[in-house]
Amino acid sequence: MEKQIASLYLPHFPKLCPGGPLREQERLHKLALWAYRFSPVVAVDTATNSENSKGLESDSRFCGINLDLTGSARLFGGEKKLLHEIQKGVTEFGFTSRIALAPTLGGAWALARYRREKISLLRFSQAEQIPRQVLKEVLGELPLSALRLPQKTCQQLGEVELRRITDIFPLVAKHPRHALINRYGGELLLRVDQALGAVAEPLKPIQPRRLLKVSHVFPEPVSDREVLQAIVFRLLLQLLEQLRSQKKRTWKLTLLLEGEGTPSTSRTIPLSLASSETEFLLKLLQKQVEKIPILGAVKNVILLSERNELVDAEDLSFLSEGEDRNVEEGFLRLIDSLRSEIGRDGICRLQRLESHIPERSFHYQPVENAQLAYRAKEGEPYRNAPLERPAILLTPPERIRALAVVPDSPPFSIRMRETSYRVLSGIGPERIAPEWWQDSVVRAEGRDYFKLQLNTGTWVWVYRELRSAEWFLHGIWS
Amino acid sequence: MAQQGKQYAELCVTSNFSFLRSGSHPEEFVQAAAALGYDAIGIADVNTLAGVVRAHVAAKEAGIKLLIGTQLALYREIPKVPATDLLPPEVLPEYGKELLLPFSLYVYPKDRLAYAKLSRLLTTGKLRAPKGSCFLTLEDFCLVASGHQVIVVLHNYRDSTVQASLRTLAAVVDPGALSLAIWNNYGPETLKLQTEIRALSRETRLPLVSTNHPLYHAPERRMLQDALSCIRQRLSITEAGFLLAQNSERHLKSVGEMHRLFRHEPEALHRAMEIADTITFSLSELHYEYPHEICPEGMSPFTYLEELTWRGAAERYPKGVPPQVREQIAYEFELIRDLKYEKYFLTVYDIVIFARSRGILCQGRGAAANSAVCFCLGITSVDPEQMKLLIERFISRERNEPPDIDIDFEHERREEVIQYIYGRFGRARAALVAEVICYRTRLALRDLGRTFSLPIEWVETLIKIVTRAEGEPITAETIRAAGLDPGIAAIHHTLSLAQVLSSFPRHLSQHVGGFVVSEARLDEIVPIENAGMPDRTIIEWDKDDIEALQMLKIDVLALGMLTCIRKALGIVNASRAPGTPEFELHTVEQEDPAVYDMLCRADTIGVFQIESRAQMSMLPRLLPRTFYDLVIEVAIVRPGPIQGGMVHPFLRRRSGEEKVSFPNDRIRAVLERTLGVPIFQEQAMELAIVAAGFTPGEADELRRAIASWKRKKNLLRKFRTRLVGGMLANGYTQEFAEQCFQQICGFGEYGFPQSHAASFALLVYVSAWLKKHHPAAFAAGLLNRHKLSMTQSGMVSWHFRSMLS
Repeated sequence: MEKQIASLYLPHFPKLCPGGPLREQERLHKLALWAYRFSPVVAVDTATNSENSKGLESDSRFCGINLDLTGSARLFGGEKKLLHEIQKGVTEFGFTSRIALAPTLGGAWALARYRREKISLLRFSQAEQIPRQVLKEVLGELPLSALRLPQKTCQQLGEVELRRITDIFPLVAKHPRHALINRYGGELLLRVDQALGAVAEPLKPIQPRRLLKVSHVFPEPVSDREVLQAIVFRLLLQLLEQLRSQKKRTWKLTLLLEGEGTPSTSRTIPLSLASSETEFLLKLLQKQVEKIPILGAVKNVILLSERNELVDAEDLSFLSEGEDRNVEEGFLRLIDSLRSEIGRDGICRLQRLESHIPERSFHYQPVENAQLAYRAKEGEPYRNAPLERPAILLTPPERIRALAVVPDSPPFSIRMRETSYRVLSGIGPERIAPEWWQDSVVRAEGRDYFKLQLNTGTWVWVYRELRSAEWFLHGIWS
Repeated sequence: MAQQGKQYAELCVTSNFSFLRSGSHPEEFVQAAAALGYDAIGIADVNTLAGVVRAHVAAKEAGIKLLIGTQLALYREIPKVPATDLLPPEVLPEYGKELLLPFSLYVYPKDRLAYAKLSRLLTTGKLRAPKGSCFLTLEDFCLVASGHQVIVVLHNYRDSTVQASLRTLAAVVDPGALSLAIWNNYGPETLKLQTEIRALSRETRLPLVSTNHPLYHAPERRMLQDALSCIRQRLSITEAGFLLAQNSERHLKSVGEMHRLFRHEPEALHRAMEIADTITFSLSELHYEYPHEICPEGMSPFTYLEELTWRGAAERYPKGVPPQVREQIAYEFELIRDLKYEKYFLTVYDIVIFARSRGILCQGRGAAANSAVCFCLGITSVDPEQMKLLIERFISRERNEPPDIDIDFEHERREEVIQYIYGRFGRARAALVAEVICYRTRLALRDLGRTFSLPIEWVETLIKIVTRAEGEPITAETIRAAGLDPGIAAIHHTLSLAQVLSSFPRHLSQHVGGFVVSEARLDEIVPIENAGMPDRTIIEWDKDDIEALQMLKIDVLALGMLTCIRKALGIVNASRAPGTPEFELHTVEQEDPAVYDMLCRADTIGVFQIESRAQMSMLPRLLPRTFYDLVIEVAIVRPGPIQGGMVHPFLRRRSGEEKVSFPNDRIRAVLERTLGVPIFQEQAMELAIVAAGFTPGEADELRRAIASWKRKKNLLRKFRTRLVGGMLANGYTQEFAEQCFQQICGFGEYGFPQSHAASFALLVYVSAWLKKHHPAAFAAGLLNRHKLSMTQSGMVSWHFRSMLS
């Protein structure tokens, strides 16, 4: 299904809005919040999505909001009616506006800004086989700057008489991409592709921000951590009281210490599970107060709570029942406590990789989202995975000595860590050859693996390196 | 080398004719097995016999016993093919994978009869499946199971249906001809698998047979094997993970090593030898016979050919057959009788007669086509009288191979001829020859580039580098000069693997027009499958395979100019004065000076072959006055003679600026008719025979080497030493020898054999004659044939309008 992206442009907005860029942003944000009634995805218009868009940030053309109206129109009696409604609402805010609807953000953006119509509508009926062709024709008439290109690129292209968008289609079609990138930067191709829908350009929806804030101002600046701890405790109690009165829980706490004439320091504690438990949160906060650097004396302590959620909004009971749920909660709390101890990247999860080389068949990945990590613990099944692998793998493998009759028969005795063991039974060999396509750095030598039962009853996994004929212990079955 | 007294036979080899599943050519397996001292090797590809002829030829050369067979992948039930199958042609579809039985059958026919049954079984499976697939069930196989040695290779021993299937098989296969394969590839589950197979063998009382289950002939091909797995699964090498092999054990191992691996099971090793011993079938047993319909019953084909020829001669020469033609025919008859080619000529005649009865214009081409016999039979219209010395060796007696006649038909009506052949001999006895489509450089680099996740731009650069290198090794400097880093492993792998992969077969396609027609059922000689085009069936073998087995092939080709000439002649004949005879290809007035005058003015727009700029600029210099001049004109303006530097010497000699001289009379005999300059392909070969002492067989090898010199530079270098050396030894100067070699090499870039040039020259003459005398009819013919572009048709109508006004 075609996407339907609307771009709303406020041509006179900056003039009407004294108070500088910050104020502007705030007002746009407000407008965007209002527009939530039309679509779940509303974004404030910015020039992001590419690396060298810095010069565009202050561009007055980036003034408006974008909405993803895919599927919304039906609820409002058709696209045209919907656009009218949006525009009417914006007028009530006191703004004049132009709005356009197109299958791509790039297209809608250009039409809203470079066409005189108050409402531009570009949509495709089912019968239209090649919507991109239509898009190409309509956009082609507009000047190059409608592609959200930096001024410099437009000038460069203007020098060779390429002024309208249609002028550069043959250029893009004829020349190899890398040649164009070298010459005009990646921006040109990216913007063309975005406008025609060849690459996706997701909107960055605004987050309705609802902060809770409590603070304490010291009459005299202090630098004693004990005092700070006491104040932070008191602030937390205040904050939680506010939260509880709203039946809310917090996802994120921020501690801000402001000094007098010294830079302020802050610590953010994102949580894996929304919480309003005093003891737990206090523990996390106290850890931060212990570690936060105090530059000079602190005048002002601020505690913020973000992403507050209604208690029953985050009801996990439908995911897992009773005990399981407690286990999950416990797990997430544990992750948060550990994080406050050892930092965010300190917690990793084991991820499986498909490689025949045992030590390359997994790796440790820092956990980003503890909830996802918990639910993914089952993981996806392997394709054609080897079945017999020990639970414990030694990294690196340990050198041992072994005695065997023939090279590819299991040894009858091994000696490791100063002790000799008789081998009761041995299975193998399983030959694992190097992964020839890897760089020589990570490429392992070919090995013959054996599963051995020692006279102690333990099963171990040993291998003989084929080239050096040396033996190693690689794993143990527990 | 084989150890004293130890024997080994490898019976479960998969070659690269199981497309994308194996890393070696059948020839490589055969050669490697012979070098390792194996007693026999069995190559069986998935549902096909496509690679067996190559293996057979290689095995004869290497002196090793080859078992011909196939690997049947059977379905539980015939899969349904989705009706709207819009896969791109390069995708090899794998239908109903989930319906496949959990084992493969390696089937080796013991004798000719069993082979015929196997070939028909494959034909059945292929004709009921879309192109490139083969749908067979276990029941299908059971119907033809006797007469074969069958080896069961389990893929999944956990499947519960295995036992039942084995019992079914044991009931229908010859007693003692069913075995279970056991192998040790040092895999993670090898021991478990072996234990299960042994248990199965005990339960079902089936003997075990040892194999190494090879997918490539040498361990270093594992890299290519892995890359092929990736290409088949459409994954990059880093994504493929456990789908790749764990080690490189699936190659041909030494006899000693195989005996060591199966030291506890000597009976399994012995079993392989036993199986090989029971099989006597070899492809040499496939006796090809020409169809019988071509000759009336009760008459010997040779007498019939004689009768037809003399009858035709009387028609061709109403004023009496000239004595030298009579002599020529007698000479050719002798040759035809000696080599038993009469049925070949009659088969071609049969097709030509059909075409003529439908008014489809046709013209034979090729060495045999320009014989006096063919002229009398109406296969060609080139009068042997005009060709003087040309036909004295139209078939090389030394090479015992079928003569070569290509027939061009009007391009619009060739399909009628094709369907006639199918209808006349039946689809079981006539089919098109396959063309084995190979990877080639470009595609090999593309697919490997994707496997190693190279950016598209890099792959394009690599293609340029490799194309430019023309087979020479590629140095690090070349790569660096093209802007790539030769140190990157992925680039190195892509380049080195592409070198091997580019000669790999990729899929079968249909040959442009090569037909095989046989007396016995063709599908008992080779499986027949559906071609991509509707109403076409093709055999699994290509033209080299056919040639190796000495089977008849007739090339039924399409030529647009014939359509044009037929339409123009139709108009001319319709408006001719009553009572005058109809014009045909051979009855247009010969050697008309007015036509040659026009040609000397280079007024040739619309005329066949010589309307190009290069040809037009040559005409005023060559000034053709006779038919043979036209033959030279057609042959000389080709990249071959131009690159060999033959054009200017020839023109100088023709205009008398340069003296025509020959080192001796033997050379004179070869080159006299072309003023001492070799212009035709066969002259180059004759030079090698006469001057450098080549045998005719060697000269033929040289011809093939020339044709493929771009791919096989080393081979040509070998011939260079041989040729120049031989000429020096025979007392020729170094300069002359080098010059000859240069000229011969020139033919690599498309030279014409004289016989082809002569057939084309006739069309040149006829089209020029039409243009001179009946320009309006000719223009109409040109415009009425398809495939003229707007500019072309615009030019034609403008040109002829100005000519007529």
